This record gives sequence, structure tokens and C-alpha cells, in this order.
Amino acid sequence: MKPENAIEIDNVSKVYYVAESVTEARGRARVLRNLTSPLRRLRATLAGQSAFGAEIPVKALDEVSFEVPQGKILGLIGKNGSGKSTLLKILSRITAPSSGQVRIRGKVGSLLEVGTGFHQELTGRENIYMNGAVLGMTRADINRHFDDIIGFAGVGAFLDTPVKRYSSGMRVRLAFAVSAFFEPEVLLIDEVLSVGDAEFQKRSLGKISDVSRDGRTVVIVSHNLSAILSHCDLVAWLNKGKLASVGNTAQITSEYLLSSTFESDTLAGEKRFRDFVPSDKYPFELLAMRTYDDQQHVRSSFLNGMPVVVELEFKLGAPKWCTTTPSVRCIGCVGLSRPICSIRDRITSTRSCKFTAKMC
Amino acid sequence: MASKTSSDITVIQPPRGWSFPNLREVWDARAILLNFVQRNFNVTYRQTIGGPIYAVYTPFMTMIGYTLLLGVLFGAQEGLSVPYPLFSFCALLVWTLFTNVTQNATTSLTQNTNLIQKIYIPRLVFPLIETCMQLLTFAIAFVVLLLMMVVYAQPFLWQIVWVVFYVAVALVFSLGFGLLFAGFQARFRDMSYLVQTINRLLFFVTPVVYDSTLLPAPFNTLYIYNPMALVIEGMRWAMLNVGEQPALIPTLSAVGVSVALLLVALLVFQRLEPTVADVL
Repeated sequence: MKPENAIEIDNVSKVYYVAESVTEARGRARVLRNLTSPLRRLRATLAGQSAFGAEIPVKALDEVSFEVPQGKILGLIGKNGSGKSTLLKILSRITAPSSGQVRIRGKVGSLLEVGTGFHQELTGRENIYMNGAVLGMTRADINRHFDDIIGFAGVGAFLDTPVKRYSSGMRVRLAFAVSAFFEPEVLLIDEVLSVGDAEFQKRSLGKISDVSRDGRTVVIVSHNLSAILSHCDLVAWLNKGKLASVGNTAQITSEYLLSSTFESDTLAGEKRFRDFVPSDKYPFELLAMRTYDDQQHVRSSFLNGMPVVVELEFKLGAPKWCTTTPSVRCIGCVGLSRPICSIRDRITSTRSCKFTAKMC
Repeated sequence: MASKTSSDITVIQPPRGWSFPNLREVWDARAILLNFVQRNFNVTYRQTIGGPIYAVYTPFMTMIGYTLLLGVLFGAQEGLSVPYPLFSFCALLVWTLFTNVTQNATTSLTQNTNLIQKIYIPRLVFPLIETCMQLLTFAIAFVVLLLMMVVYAQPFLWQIVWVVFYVAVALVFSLGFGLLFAGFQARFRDMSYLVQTINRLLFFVTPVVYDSTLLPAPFNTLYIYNPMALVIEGMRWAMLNVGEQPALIPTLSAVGVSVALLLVALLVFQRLEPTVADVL
């Protein structure tokens, strides 16, 4: 293992067996056959295979390899079913890989949910110790952070009340507070950032940055790309079980975003509009829109920070009621959760216009 | 807190062949185990009026039942050197320990599905939690037995120290039994029914509520090779001075069978453990 790495993932694959869809009659016959041969099933089970015979292997992870350097925060992104959670489960040893190897340096802790080990009947105080122990904290660790934990969760007055009497928000805050003071050398987190109100989320994200400032390594799975953008040093993008790319956060996040947004685009960089707005209603008729890079090539994918030339082709008629020269004020906003580029320009031509925007 | 420059390297790879569980890892998880035992113990008796009385409830009520049925109706008291309630309770204690450990260890993984799928704790910890819980319950019931002995003016003899040995044999045997089925239970929920059935059948061939001298010809010498029968005969001798101490050969056989069962069970458990989260 290289000394600068905290995690090395080496050709890791994970195969799951999914029941083959068969006709009802054939399915029944198969169940009967399997029921009558318990020995074969036992043998299959011991060999780690599917016990009920014909099932289709599905590769949840396919030969994934990458490294995470010590002290870095890595974001795992990808669509649902791309293998992010499976990889996290393998890293946290919840399930074993089917092939390949993972090497991790230092004590590993995983937060795949908040409040693992919480019990409704136990009091807040008892649950803090229980949850801490399950995560791998020693009693001394918990004692040291006890006041901070209650402060962070804000449940001081209810410390000796059973958790079942808590509001759901209090329960989640308490659970997260314990996790926030959990300080393993390698921390694996799955979507837990999505709990609590906005202010609480901000505090918990801040906590994660603190963790890596201490030289600890973090792996986060999240669909919250703005959280990934602002906290991760590098990103690994998984697509259908395969590693699509790994590296620079901004670059890969953009690629990922673009791949999922413009996947269905037919004409690269050109979109033709027909009958969007009936021309007899308004004088402005959009005919086409093209996007170019700075080399005047038509393209549809742009990276963050790249200049984009947008060309709009339109017909501008002068309606009868209009006495002055017709003009169009273009106020544009393109983006998903936040604007990628914004345009504010005055168009006076009646044929077409071109302007340059910058991806931000 | 672990040092930041720790160079412990964890290697995660597909399971290969047969191996024993990593016992050092289990030892390192002892804080979790203790927390769970404490939690389960607290939770079991919380919001009950009786509290830990329920630890002795099952063997005590069974003892009363058999005392009424066999002791009073069928005259099982005849030929016994000690009162029938003491005679049966002493055995029912270890028998309850055995059935509870086997059944709870078998279902220990399926009962903790949530945890197993969300965090890595050496899986062997779960059956061990159940074993510790039952041992604690046994300790409470054992105090009740001591109280009963005082009530019945039963003398305490030096051989009481042998209780430790017989309970240890019972624990090893029960844990082995339960572990053997625990991994399979994760895949096939039939196992818990199977274990219940085996327990029920074993109950009849083990002299728990009857005196072993009542057994007919070939069985009166063979029954002792059932490890639980040996444990029960041993307990009766150690606590109540009933009969003789079990002979050396059956004792060695019981120890051998129990240890062998535990070793085989550990191998099977470890074989099934790595993918248990996928099939639960």
C-alpha cells in the first residue's frame, strides 16, 4: 500500500443474484424441485451461491479501481443503482466483494444511517452510549464529548427521557450529534447529510470539513451536488457499476450533470423550435438555438468555467399595435438547481443574435 | 482515540474457503457486546411491574407445573432423596439456559437485520450477546434455587464448585448448537422451527423432569452420552447430592462433543458470515 493513500480499491466487483423471471408454472416446478433437494441447496449455500438455483447474476460493481489519498474528502456520485451504496457497504465491511481487494489504512468508521443501535425504550443518555459503542467509540471518547453532543443536539432537558417520547426531529438531532463526534481515521458516510433542518445540515457539513482538516479521510455518497462541490476534494463517478471517472470535483461533477441532462439530445448543440408559441399571438418567434464553444464548434456539453456562445435564430414581426422599433429583452437563466449562466441583453436585430456567456 | 498515524491496514477481499472467525476482532468488540447485553437486559424488563422476576418466571412456572403433574399426580417424589420441586428446578434452570441460548443464538442474526445491514460489527458478537444475556438470566434463577434450598433446609456441600464446570459445558454445547444454525437461519427461516423441534425431542430423552434411574435397560447407560443429560446429572449431584458424580468417560465425551460441535459451528458460521448482509 502506498504511504500517501488511505484507501486503495483494486478491481472490486460485486455480483448479486436476482431471481429470473419465469412463467408461473415453470416457477412452481422449480420451487418444488428445489424443495425436494435440500442437499443441493445446502451445498450451494455453503459455496456462497444462490440457494434456489437459476438466478441471474447482476454485477452491482464491475472492476472498480481507484485510490483515496490520506486526508482527502472523496464524493461518490452516480445515478440510483450505479453501485455507490454497494461500494460503501464493501468499504465498511458490511458485505464482502465478489472479487478484487480493498486496503484501508487506519480505523474505519461508517455512518450508513444515523442512530444505528438506538432503542426506543432507552433514555437519551443511554442511547448516546449505545450508539457511540456501536459506531466504535470507547466510553472515554463518549464521556469526553458528552456535553458537546447534548449541546449540538439541543436535547439537554430530555436527557433522561426515553427516546420514544422524543419528537422525530429531536431523535434525529441526537443521533446525528453522536455521529458528529465520531472521529475515525477513515469515515464513510451515506446520504446522512439529508437529515434535519437547513441550519442543522449546515452545521453537520461544517463538521465533516473539520474532520478532514484533522487529516482524516472521508468518503461521502450524496445526491446533493452542491454539498459535494463545496466539500469534496475529489469525486468518483460510478455509472452502472463501472467507474466512469475519478478526479477533480468541479470537472467530474459537471460531466456527470451534463451526461444526465443532455443524454437524450439528438442534435449536438442545436435545438429547433417549432410552434412553441403561435406566431400570430406574439411578434417573437424562436426558430433555433445553437450553442458553440469558443472555437465556433457546435457542441452540447460544456465544462464549468468554459465560455459558451449562444445563438438564437428568430423572427421578429412588428405587430400592428407597435409603433416603435421592435426589440427583445433577453433575460435567460439556464441551470438545474442553480443558474449555470445568465443572459441579460437587449436584442435589436430582427433576424438572429449571438452572445457569449460563461458557465458558472 | 486511535492515533492518527496508525498504520493498521484492513484488507477487504472475497472470502476464501473455510476458516475460523477472527477472535481478536470479537475481543476488540467486547465494549459493544457489553453495551448490548446491558441494553437488552434493561429493555426486557422496562415498563413491567415484575421486572427481573421474569428471569426466573419460565423455569419456576414449569417447575410448579411438573410438581403438580408428576410430583403430586404421578408420584414422582417416590424414591427421591430431595423434594421434587428442588429436583426439577435444579435441572430446569440449565435446561432453560440450553433452550434459550440455542433458540436465541439461531435467530440472533435475523433479529438484528437492521444493524447488520448498516454497520459492521463482527457477526459472532450477536449470538454471543444472546449467550451472555441467558447466562445473566441463569444467574438470577440460580439465586432463586439457592433460596429454595434454604427454604427446604437442603445442605450446601463442597461439590457445589462443580456447578461452574457443568454450566460451562452446557454453554459451549448450546452456543455450538445455536451457531450451527444461525448462519443458515439468515437464508432459510425454517431453522428456528427445526431448532425448536430438536429441543422438544431432546427434552424427552433428557432426564429433566424425571429421574434417570427410571430409564429402561439399554438407555440407562446410554443416556449419559447426551451432553445435556450429563450436565443435568452433574448439576443435581453438585447442588443436591443426588446420585453420583458422572463418570470420567461420559464427562470427557460430553466435553469432546461440545467442543467439537462449537468448532464445527464456528467454521460454518464463518463460511456464511461474509455474505450474510445480502441474504437477510
